[in-house]
Amino acid sequence: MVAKQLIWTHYDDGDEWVVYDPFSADIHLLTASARLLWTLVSDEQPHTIHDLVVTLAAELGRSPDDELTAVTRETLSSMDRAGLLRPMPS
Amino acid sequence: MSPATRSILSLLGTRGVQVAIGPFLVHVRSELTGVRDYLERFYDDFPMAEGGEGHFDLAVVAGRGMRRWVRPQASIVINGARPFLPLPALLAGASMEWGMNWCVGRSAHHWVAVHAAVVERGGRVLILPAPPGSGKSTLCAALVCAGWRLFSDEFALIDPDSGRVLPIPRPISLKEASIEVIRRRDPQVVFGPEAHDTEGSRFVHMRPPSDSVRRADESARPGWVIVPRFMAGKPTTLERLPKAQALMQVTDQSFNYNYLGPKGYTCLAELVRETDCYRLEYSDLDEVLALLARVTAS
Repeated sequence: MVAKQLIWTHYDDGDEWVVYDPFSADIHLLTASARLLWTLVSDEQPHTIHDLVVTLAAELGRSPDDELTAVTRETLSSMDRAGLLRPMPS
Repeated sequence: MSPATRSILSLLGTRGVQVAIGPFLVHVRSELTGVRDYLERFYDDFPMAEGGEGHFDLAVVAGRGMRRWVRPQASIVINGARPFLPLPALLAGASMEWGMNWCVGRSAHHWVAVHAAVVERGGRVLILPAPPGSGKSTLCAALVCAGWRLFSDEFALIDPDSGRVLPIPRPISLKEASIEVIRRRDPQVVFGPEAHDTEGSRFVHMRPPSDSVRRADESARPGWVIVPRFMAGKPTTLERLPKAQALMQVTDQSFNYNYLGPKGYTCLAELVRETDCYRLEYSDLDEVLALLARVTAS
């Protein structure tokens, strides 16, 4: 998956992000971790879940365990359903 | 009412009347005495002219056939179309007001419109975005009675180029117990007759203050976004609302930012950046007015 052109908004009083999709006009509220995950997959390179979990764990200062793997899968799935990702061109 | 206004309103049933309401010119035409009475009671302070055209063309017409005489009805015609079912003729004046809400909501796409009550003091605007039933009109009326300038009890209109908020002062709609609450707070306030709306709720309209109407061309910068919620019997609380969450609330209450695309979204994102944002729960108006006076004075 790769990321679409989106408009991101962040304010200094919190770590959440708001993202606006100009194509659908939808707006979503994301945690800082979800935003980090989106950033990782937005480089238009293929990633394995394992690679993403290892990178996220290092960034978040926690172990790349099963719980983080499950949350990562679920977050990617949610972002996909929300239209924040699109399939990478073959 | 001035003789000039009386003279202009005498044309209401023929050429119609052009009323300047904030940034809009509204052309109103009706032969119904209920509409004329409504305009006399609530729009006496507004600039009016004979006939002319308007951004919106509203006609309130009598029901057809039997409905002219038996349980008489009124229909609102907006720009030549009838978007609503006929209403009891007693609601003719109010239906004009509701028609204007419909026009602004559907057509005011030069500005970003947010469903909110809006008041101003000291050159800064307080925006109260909330869904219906949150008590924003009651709070708006109480703030106006306490000396705040009325911008609107229904819409925040924001210029996406300048970020300034435009006034569109009109009668404030109050429902059920709020009617007595506001009536007790300020016996000088002019109310219209009580009626029941299409959902069966008792309502009145409250005349906008003359000063607010006179200054309807004075926009102002946003100062605060406060998301209100009336909670009967609960203590008053005012908490900082993280701005990301405030932006979600504001966009949720905007019905046209998407018409303007990224420009509309960015306008609201910058509005939130520029303002102090809070979440308010209240049941006691005296408490909340004192609290808002302190917060907005700082």
